[in-house]
Amino acid sequence: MNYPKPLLLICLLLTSLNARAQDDALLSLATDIARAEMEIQLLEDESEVENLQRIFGFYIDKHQWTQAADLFTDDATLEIGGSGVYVEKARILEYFKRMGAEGPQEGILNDHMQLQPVVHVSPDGTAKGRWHHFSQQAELRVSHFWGTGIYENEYLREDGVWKISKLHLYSTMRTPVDDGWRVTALPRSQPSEEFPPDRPASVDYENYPSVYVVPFHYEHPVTSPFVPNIAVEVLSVPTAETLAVELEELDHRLSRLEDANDIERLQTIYGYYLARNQWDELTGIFASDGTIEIAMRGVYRGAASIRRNLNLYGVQDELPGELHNHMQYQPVIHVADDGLSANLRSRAFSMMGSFGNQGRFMGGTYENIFVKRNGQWMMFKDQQINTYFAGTDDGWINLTRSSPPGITQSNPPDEPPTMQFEMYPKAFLPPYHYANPVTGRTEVVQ
Amino acid sequence: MYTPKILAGLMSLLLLVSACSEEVSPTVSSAGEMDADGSELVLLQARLNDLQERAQRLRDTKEIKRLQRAYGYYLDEAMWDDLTELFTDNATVEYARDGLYRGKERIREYLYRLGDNRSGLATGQLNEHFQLMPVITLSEDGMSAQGRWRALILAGQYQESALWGEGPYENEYVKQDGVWKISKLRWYQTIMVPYNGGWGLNEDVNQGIYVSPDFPPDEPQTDNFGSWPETFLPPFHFDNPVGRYVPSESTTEGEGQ
Repeated sequence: MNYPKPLLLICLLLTSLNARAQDDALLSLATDIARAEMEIQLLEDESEVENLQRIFGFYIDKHQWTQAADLFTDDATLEIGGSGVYVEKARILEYFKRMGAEGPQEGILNDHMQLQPVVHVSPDGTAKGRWHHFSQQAELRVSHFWGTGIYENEYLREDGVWKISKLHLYSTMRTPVDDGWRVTALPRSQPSEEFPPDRPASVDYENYPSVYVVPFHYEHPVTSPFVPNIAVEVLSVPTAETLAVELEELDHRLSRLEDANDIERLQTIYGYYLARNQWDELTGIFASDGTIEIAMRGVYRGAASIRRNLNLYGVQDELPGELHNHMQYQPVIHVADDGLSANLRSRAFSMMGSFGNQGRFMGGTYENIFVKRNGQWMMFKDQQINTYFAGTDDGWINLTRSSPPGITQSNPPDEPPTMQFEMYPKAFLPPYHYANPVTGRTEVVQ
Repeated sequence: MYTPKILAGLMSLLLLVSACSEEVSPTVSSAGEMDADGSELVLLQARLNDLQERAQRLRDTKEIKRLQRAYGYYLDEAMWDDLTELFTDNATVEYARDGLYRGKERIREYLYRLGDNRSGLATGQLNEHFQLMPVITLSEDGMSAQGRWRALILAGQYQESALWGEGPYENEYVKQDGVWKISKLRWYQTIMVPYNGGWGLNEDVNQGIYVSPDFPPDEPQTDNFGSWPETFLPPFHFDNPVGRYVPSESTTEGEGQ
């Protein structure tokens, strides 16, 4: 192509400008990508911290003291109720071990729910979290308690791995099941004389029936919103190819976060449908070749079988005078790298019963699998392992050995149960789909 | 971040330059031998925009969860002023069967009346309201959202009462000046029953009525739900994310527990 001379001159000028403009554009784009990377990192951090605290809760339930202590930093602190402050991981492990033998114990119920997280992560690799604590503890024929509390915890990312650097559980209320909080309010714990803390309690307070507001680690979310201070600087001009690779990687990381969000949402929706006997809706969230296995009733495979299984729990959409509230708590979600499958461990806590008869609580664990097909997450395996059924007024103290409901001959499963277990007072540890996030340990320490 | 105007300018400049570079070659750039031409940069920018938008939607979802959970922690402690500041100016609240209250100041007064006109719990008062089971649905434009939650409640007064409570929320949220607020709060009381005998042996203690007899609402109860042992399915703001099952053959209903 032949340009007239003036245009050629303009072109020459523009070409040198072009180089500058391209550099500036690349640098600016790289800076924006670096910022997006940090924002995605913070979202990952928040998810990992939430997983960490929930994993901690599942270990404490089953007296897995070594696994639980391994979630702490070497110089972490632990403060529970009024027991004072224990410093360093080894002391924390010792503190746990003095609460009972390692591993799940027959006749001991020790459920510690980790609920309602408000986690704030800073770009410097630290985080703080407020949680609600709700406990069901029992020793067969000796005692049983309800308890509530607040955690204000701190977390630290060491070599890319999140750990608990400070755990502080404030007791709010503790009462024997027989009395309830109208009648009896137990004081918070006192420092041990045989195993004294390294430091006295950091704060002096009385729990219920006194009133104490546990200090918040965050300001008011509307009048003083939390804004993480993200500062990025890109010094050298990257190539477009480098940026394309970075974007590809970020897209991958962000997709896994979106997946986890979708899966938590789906498991929660499962709970809402279950609570109102919405059997067709519930069946609809399963993959066409999915399975349901509840309470050792066996495996029901495929939509028609799953729908048939649900008939075992009542008539579709009909619940006059029935409470069937099956709550879904404390999800620990791991999405496969290819984004096509995921595992979830979560907690079942149910309030059930028909008006006119004593109601029941049910506690349990889910280990579920999800699959993504045609871009849509669906439930592939739903397995619920019951910990107990207990009358609202009877509690756990005198529960006798019993198996979960098992197979119904008139509406049998397609396959036998995949797992045999007995409920409390027997001890059973539902297998984890994940290893300890800090040590990678999977085996049960005895 | 680029505004569309700057982007358009950048594009036309790059287009002109690439036309020029056919004549004046090779192109020299400190960026290295593999040079980004205009269209490649535009493509990268578009991919980044997509990522930023998706990350923002996740952040919004998490912020709404934090907001509702913060609401729960304030409610536990009867911190009515902090609670009120979570709402938009023209927000509405409707608890159980008390009817609907509109606007921040009416909400503040409603909450204070719930708490016996004092800020903070009285000695011996328990007011635990766990905020659980969020299903958050963000609007297309990311400026509003809906959320279903469930509250599990341990409430009462030492030596006087202990109550189990439970019920779902269907709430709405809006983002104003980059900050999420509650624009509509609707809580359905499934049960509020004495600890002894629980929901098996007790009817709802207050039929879902709290302060409305002395402090009439701005609008009556907006839906038709009663109190335990009556049951009600609060409408869902979301559709089944996968799709409702359509049975191909008849199934046998209700074979008992």
